[in-house]
Amino acid sequence: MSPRSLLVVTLSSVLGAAALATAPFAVAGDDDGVARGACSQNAFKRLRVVPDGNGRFDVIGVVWSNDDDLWDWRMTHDGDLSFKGEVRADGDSDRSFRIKRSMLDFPGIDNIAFKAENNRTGETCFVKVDDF
Amino acid sequence: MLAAQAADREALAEARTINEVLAESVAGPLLTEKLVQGSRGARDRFDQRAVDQFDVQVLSQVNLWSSEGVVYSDNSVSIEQDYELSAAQREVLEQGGTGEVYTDDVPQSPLTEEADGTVQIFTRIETPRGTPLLFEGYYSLEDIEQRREQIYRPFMYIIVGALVLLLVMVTPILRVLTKQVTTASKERERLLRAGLDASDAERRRIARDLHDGVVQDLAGTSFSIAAAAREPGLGDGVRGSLHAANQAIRDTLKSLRALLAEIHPPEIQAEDLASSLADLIAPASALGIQASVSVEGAETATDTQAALVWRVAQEAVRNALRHAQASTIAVTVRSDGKVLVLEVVDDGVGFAADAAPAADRYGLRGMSSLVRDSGGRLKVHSSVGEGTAVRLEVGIDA
Repeated sequence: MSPRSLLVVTLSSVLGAAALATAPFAVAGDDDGVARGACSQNAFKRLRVVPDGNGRFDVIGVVWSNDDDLWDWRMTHDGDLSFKGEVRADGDSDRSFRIKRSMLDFPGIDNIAFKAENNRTGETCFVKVDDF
Repeated sequence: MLAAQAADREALAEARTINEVLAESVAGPLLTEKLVQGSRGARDRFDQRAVDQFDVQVLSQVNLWSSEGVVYSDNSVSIEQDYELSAAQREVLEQGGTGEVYTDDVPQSPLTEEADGTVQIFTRIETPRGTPLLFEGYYSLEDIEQRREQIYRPFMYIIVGALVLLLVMVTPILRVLTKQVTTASKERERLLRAGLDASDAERRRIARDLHDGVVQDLAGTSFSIAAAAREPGLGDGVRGSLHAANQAIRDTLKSLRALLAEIHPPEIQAEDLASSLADLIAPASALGIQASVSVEGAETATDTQAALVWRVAQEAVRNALRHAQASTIAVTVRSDGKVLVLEVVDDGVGFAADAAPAADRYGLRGMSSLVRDSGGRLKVHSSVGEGTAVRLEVGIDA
């Protein structure tokens, strides 16, 4: 392999890996609060908080788990439980599941967290946006 | 002004109704103790479930108060601020019901500064454990009135349109019916007039036949008997009998002439009023009643006024002859050049003054209306045992 060919392959690999690594995550706005990362086993998680301009946040929690298991989830606001529920993941979709709720924008700093737990495997995903 | 006040009252009543429905049906079932205690999660849940149902066009803001302050507001500026209940709000929170206060009438606060021209309506509700809360909504009365107009305007067009349509449909029917009624009335009047004319013609024919036949024959017989009574050589007894027979025939002639006058009244003329009135009292002598007629100054009256005098006199004399049991009847007509006055006075039994209205007795009712129509006045004075006086006054210029 010539040095030129080697350079092309290397660049392609790096760019391709970078594209794959960022593909599941949407582009966040300047005012948005976003936190993401890996769950306790194989899944990935993300929490996004978006002001709606009307005194509220749109709070969106997403888990990519590549399964079709049943997950418990909950959203807290400054430590208070705001919403909770149960959802079955859809392994064929891009995102396994996505939860969206609206929260009030209280005066001062808001700490918002999203937690999901796989009922079958016990895998947990916890993500929070602090000081929003 | 009144319409605007009524519209405001209606709008306020509607706003109160909306507030009570939202409080009881939307907010009430979502209340929890955690919400009252200030849990942010509980507020998020309440907001998530209720906010869409608070999206009423005329409702600009919703607050939920406890006795300690605001526990929820859909206006983020108001959340967790240190506001206090007003006296009116506290009264409703403690005693229940619904109250209202105009935002312009209360001190401004961050809670109300963007709510000019609205009315705050608050209704007491309770959590499942009985904690009292105040559901407060801010309403724009102007928006409510506009909304009502939007709702009612189509109905108004329908109603007005229906009325116009009804009017258009009914008008031709009314015109036809009116025309029919008018035509029927004219026909009835024509028939009545024809009947009266026929009756008058028949009366005239009978009177003429009696006058030209029986009356003339009796007059001829009277002359013959008078001539026979004057023949010389008759015994006193026969002559006396002839005179008596002649007198009886003359009395009969008088009665017949009076009857003729009743059957068909003569064409009364002012200058002949005295002789016409004399014919009226002709039957009196046969009844042993002393009757007299006196007429002065009637020449200035019109024939129509003379006919009116004659008709009233005819009715009064007839009553006196039939009912009064009078010994004298005096018929007097006089005029001062302005008013023609008829008086028919008898010395009969009279009648009680408190009986039926005198003018309505003995056929004088018809005369009363006739006199009124002619611009005159008819009065009847009578009392028991004092006789009766009938007085007619009619203006000569009338």
